[in-house]
Amino acid sequence: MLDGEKKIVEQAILGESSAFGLLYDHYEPQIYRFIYLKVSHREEAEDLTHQVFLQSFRKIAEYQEKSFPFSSWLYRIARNEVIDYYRVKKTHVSIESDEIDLPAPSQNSLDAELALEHIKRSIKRLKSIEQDVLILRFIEDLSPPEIAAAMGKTPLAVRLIQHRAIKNLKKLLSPKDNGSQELLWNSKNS
Amino acid sequence: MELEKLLKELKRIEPDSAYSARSKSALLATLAIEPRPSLEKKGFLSVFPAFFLTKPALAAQTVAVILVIVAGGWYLNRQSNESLVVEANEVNSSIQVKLNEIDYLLKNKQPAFSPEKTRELNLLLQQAEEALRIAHEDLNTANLVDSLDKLKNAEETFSRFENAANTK
Repeated sequence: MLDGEKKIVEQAILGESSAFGLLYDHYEPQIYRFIYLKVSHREEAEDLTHQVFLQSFRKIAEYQEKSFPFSSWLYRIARNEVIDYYRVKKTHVSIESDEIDLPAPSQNSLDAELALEHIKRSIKRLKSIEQDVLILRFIEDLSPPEIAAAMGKTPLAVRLIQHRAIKNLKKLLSPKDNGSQELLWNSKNS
Repeated sequence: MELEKLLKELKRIEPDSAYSARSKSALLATLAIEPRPSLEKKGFLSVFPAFFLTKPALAAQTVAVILVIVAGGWYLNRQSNESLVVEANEVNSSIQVKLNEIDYLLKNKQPAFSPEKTRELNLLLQQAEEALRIAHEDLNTANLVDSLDKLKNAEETFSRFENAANTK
């Protein structure tokens, strides 16, 4: 959470542009990352991220600080944007055409990079709702209640989806299920 | 490598800094030429656009009506979870007391409020209304726990309203 977020949101509600700027600076990277992992296309992710912030700033008076964290509210808008993106454009991004590029590794081994590439493609093969929970829980470190708020689910439902997502991801990552050559992770995480 | 560590590695994905700067500038420029965020399009304001900003007392009365509707919803759910219903009734009663106090405050002190204070109070009323509306929606989907949370949110907002109305 952004320091002094409550006050900043209140200022944004009153139309303070500097408050919008602070919210944008803090949340834009994570909203972009969430969308990018969902659509696998840099320019599309940029456009959608812009739309998310435009919408959220226009509707910021609707945000209820006591209902759930601001980040959950943003992710809720982002999810809807991605859903609309796939619905309207009927875009099908095949696993083979995914092009998720990461910055050059600093010190990771080649094995780790291969594993990372493999995991990105595997995440894309999960159900959309499972992707959402995995990204928000394990990449963005949101708590189950925060994810629940973002997804309009209960925390219990989020935990169940999380369990299923991990199980399915492990299955996809296993060489047997994937036809892949390498075992990319060990099962310590189970 | 462990799965969770691998997932964490994906945090290295970041937007292009040039794009971020452009997007931010465009957003701020767009917002600067648009009317203020959608206060005027939401909640009470869509129903009472003309007088809402000057007559929070009327808005408070409308909140009271919504509260009655929510209380009715809880009454219909009284068989499903007794302990939650008891708690909800307590919160409802507490809100009712606060609304009576707010009603009194607005009728007797409102002329002394500055435009900024009036705006602040209206915003709080709007937030309370929204929380109650969601509480009502949650009741419709039998989501009693969430509905109770929203009721509590509304109760807290009314407390903040009282504090704000009693301070300069």
